[in-house]
Amino acid sequence: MDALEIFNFSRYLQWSGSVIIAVACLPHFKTRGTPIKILGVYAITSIVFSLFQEISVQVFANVGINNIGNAFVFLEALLFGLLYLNATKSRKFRNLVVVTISLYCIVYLFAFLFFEHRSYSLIRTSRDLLMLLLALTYFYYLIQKLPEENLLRFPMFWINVAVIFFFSGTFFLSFMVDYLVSVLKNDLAGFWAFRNVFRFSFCLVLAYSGWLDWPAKER
Amino acid sequence: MEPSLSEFTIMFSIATMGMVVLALAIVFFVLFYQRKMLEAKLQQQKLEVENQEKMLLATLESQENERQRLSRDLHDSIGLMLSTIRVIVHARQEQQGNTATDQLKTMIDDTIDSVRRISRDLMPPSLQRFGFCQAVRDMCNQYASLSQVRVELNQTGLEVDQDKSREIMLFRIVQELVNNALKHSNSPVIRVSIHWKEMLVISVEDEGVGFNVHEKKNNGSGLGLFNMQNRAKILGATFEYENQRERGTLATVCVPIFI
Repeated sequence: MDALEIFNFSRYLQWSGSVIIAVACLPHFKTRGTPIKILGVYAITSIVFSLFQEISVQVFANVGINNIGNAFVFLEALLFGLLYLNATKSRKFRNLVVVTISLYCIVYLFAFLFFEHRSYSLIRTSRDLLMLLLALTYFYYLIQKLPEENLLRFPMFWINVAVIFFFSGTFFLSFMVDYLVSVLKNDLAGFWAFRNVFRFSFCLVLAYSGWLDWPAKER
Repeated sequence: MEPSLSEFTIMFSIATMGMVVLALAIVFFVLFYQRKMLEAKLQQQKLEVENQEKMLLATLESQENERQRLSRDLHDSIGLMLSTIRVIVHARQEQQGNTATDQLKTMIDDTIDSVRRISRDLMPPSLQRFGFCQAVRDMCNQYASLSQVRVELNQTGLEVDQDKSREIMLFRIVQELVNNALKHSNSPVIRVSIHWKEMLVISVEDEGVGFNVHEKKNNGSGLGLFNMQNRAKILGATFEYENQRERGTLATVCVPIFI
């Protein structure tokens, strides 16, 4: 298998990860916690955008594929921001989420207006930083509030673990993606395949959190 | 000079591994910290519960000590003075022989009986001298003679001597149960059973109107019930009411035996 074949395989693997999240989070939708519902919407969004990218590749010869990816990055940040907004009742934490999401929107806009050549890296790096900040702050909140239950059976704990692992693991890739595209060209495929496999494990952990939230009678 | 692909791959791998290890460390720290804080909280709760139990025990012990003192004072002081007054009145009656003195003697006799009964109820002498079972037997006989209710006692197994403070608490539980049955059940018979086996099983049964335990607890009128449950808790005993019966109530207390 060459790098491109591995990359293609990893693409479908990451797509299946989104399907697994959808299967774990969408059934019994009305009875689920709000963060899990948002996770379900995120899974659907991911599947839809992956579909758009596939159509762009197969039908339109990669036209607009970067724009689709960039739009998904923005939606992903918004959805996770919304997830964290509904994760706690802490006013300070919620204010932090609102402020950081607003800042991200400004950075996103500025990236395309003033830093077009580095926009790809900029929007992804700032998204990763945003996610890491929210995840670390949520862990701090958990330490302060100390829920009585076993943390390992707490769905938001696993969502946070997934976020902190995935976005820290892909941070350097996001930071250097413009450079990699211009210098490595097709050799980037190997790095992106690694990122896709990493995303697949991210999806598995998110799906586990959805399973923990499954109504006990039905589990 | 641009790094080669392999150099870049190594740098990228090290940087990514570093970030992942940092993330792992943060997650483990959170788990470890949360576990430690929960353990500390549980330990504190345990200490609070132990403290409360000690305070409860101290309160009950001081209550019993006070009852004992009152019983002794009533018997030794007031009882003695009344007996002395009776002797003087009797002597006067023999000298003067009138009906007013007869009435006075009767009143003094009644007062002496009341004082003795109150003293006995506060701290039965048989409980101190002969132990729990004899004290319950005497109590049943006394209640049977004073009321129209049949109070029956059935004891099986070999009695095991317990610590005096435990015997007093057991006696108070039985006393409260029998008193409640007498006051509220309208039952023609009350059966007290004491079974000495691996555990001491005490039951008090009546055939009266029954009552709703949860209603008593919820409307705050179950102070006697509350005291019994506290005593049972200190003894390490289980305390159950069975009132889903055709008639009446059955209260059962299972007490571990400590030699």
